[in-house]
Amino acid sequence: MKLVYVFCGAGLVTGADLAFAADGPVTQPNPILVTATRTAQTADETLAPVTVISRAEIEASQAKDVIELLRFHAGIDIARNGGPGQTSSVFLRGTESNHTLVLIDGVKINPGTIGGAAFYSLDPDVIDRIEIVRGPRSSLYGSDAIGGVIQIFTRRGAAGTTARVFGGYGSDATRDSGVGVHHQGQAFRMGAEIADYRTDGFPTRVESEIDNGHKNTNVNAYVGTKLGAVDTELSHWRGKGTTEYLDFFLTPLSQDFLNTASALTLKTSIASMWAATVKLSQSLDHLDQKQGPDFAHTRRNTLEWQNDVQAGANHLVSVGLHSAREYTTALSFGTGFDERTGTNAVFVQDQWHAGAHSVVAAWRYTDHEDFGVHHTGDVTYGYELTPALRLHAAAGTAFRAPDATDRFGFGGNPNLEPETARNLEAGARLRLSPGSSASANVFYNDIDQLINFVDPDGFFGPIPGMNQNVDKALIRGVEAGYEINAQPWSARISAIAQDPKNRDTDRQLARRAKRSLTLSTRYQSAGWSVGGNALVTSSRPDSDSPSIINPGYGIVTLLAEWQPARAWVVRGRIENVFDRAYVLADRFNTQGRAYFLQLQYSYQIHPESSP
Amino acid sequence: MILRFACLSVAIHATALVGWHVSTQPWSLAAPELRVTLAAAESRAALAPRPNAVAARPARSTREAPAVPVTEPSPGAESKPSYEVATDFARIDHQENEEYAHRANHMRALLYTALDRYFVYPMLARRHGWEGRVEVSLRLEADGRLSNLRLVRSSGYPILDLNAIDTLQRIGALPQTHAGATIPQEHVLLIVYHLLDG
Repeated sequence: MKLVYVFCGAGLVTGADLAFAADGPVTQPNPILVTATRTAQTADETLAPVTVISRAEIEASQAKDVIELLRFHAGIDIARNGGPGQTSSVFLRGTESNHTLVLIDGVKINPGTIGGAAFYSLDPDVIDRIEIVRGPRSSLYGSDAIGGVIQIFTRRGAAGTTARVFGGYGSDATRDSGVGVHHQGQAFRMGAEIADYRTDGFPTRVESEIDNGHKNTNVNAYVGTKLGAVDTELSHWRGKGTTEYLDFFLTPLSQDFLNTASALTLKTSIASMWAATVKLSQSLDHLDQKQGPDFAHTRRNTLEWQNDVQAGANHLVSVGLHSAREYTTALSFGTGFDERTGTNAVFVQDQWHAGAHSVVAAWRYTDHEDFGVHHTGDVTYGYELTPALRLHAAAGTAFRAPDATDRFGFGGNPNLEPETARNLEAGARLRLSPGSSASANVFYNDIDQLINFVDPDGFFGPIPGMNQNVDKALIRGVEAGYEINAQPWSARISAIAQDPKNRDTDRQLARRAKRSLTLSTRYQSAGWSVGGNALVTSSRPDSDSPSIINPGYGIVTLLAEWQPARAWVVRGRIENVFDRAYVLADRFNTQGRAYFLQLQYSYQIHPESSP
Repeated sequence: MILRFACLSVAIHATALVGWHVSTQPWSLAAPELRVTLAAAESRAALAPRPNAVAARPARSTREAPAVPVTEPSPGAESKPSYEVATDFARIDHQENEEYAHRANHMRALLYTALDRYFVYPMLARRHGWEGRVEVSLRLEADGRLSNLRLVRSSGYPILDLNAIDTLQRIGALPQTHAGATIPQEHVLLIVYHLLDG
């Protein structure tokens, strides 16, 4: 009885309080807050060594090309034949330059012809963030992911409508400019950005006085909708331009390049525990020599369907289908080909937690038009010793399919097998405080069937040389990193000690250093910040023949940023502050001390719903 | 007499409003049942009015006021809801009202602190970057059991909604240290799923 009075009374008492709740659902004073850190898209960083280069870090670095961003992370060796825009190579954990898979918004951009991904074609101004996962990832991503995966995400803009315009000028008549506009609404989003970069450059070869310039225009555009449980997006990225260089005889030449990554992506929840992603994509990699007939063109069309199913409270299963058709045409010093290669694959990944234990296991079945069926798999075990200390151990295999040049170019051999790798690694991550963490990994990578040109009786002998699966490499290493965010200071330091060698000759692999140390620091105050990047690396043999050793070097870049008003930012950069002459490739120049100044204006309309 | 009638009027109006509100809910795990939330009322429990001010209240409270289908306080006797009319409304005890309000707030705080640690972000939602706010209504029994779990407001992602309800079902009851003499109450819990960057 009393209950009745009390209930009625309570209802009446607080009726007045509900007056302001009439517009919407009643909010509670202290909700149950369930949080987790956002996982990197490429891999779960509690179980794999993942480095994320955020938008803030990209802007702070003022890097003009992606090579400049990557080099200040130990474990990533780079080589470049000159300045920005020139032919460059990236070696992840001492592996080959074509052992790193590069994706832009989920689309593979590695060429189907010789070489690694076209880093020269990417302008950091259109990049939102870069995720670098070291170690074999072929089970999930297929061919080329032996050293790791570099996944690049183009900019999408913050909630509401944002626009920006920027321009800059620096040494060697380097100019960059760009404009972009984004709209991110609840159900609809779209955006477009153009970034233009051009430089007169400097002579690529030490023997020459002729400047070799470069120009590159990047476009990033997308439109997407989120209606109910279905998210659809059409995205397109392109990098197009021209690079000047000197040939073997120091004759000035130039070549045009075009790289694109376009995709139609559909994400939906099929059931409450089942999310599916379908992606139809195309990537282009074109190089056209302007003074002669040589060229290399790749067009890759891919269809993927991935299903993620939460099979239990702590159990996530992913199953994916992947189908790609690669059209490669090329002409190089008289040898040409026009080939189509089809690859189909299915993969499964199973991830589950039980208390402090986690296990991830993945397996991929690949059916390649030429070499047939290939299996890869990997398993990772993670253990949370304490909430601050996580350990992991992994074993896995990876592969690189022979590209069209290996099979049909000079010395081409259509019967080539894929290059294979077996990897073992273990590591630990320790959260020292809310703003600082340290990590260490030890790895062992055994690579077999490496493709190399073999000519037993020499170039002038009667028997023609041929590409064969002959080489073996072994890379062992230990890497460590520490980062701290204690405003106004933030800093990151990483180091690697590795032994990348040819197993037959015992020689150190070309262009890869045994020891590297990198440091990045930043001091942020109200309205301005200063920072710097430093890299020290040991000597590297220039090629497989041991005679030429490029000495170790150190390089320091200083950065400053000033925000005079909310919408304006001024950025300044001094690259190679000590004007150190160093060598990345024998007889090729590197950037001396260079200055750059950039001004940016940005405009932002916040969504109406936020206060 | 008028006060008795006022209380009945409030109860009937509120029931009608809630009935409309409940019928528009798209999804529910429990059997569809007319259940009302008292939580909003409890969370803002102010000092009880003096009995003579009660007559002025009904007009405002009917706008959005939930009323509670009154049942016997013993947990075993749950059946269909029934309504009782106050026989002598004027004898509402001011002291009891205040005590009740404090007790309600105390139970709410206990609920949040006790349940907080049981929630784990669903792997699928974390992988896809899904975030949202889920509102679940439940009945806290006298012995600490959580019953009658219902989805009040969806986050837009079924897996987050399902995770909220399943976690509460698995919890089953407040831990013994927190239970004790409680009166059965309805609560609406807000569970916010949020992903932290880096």
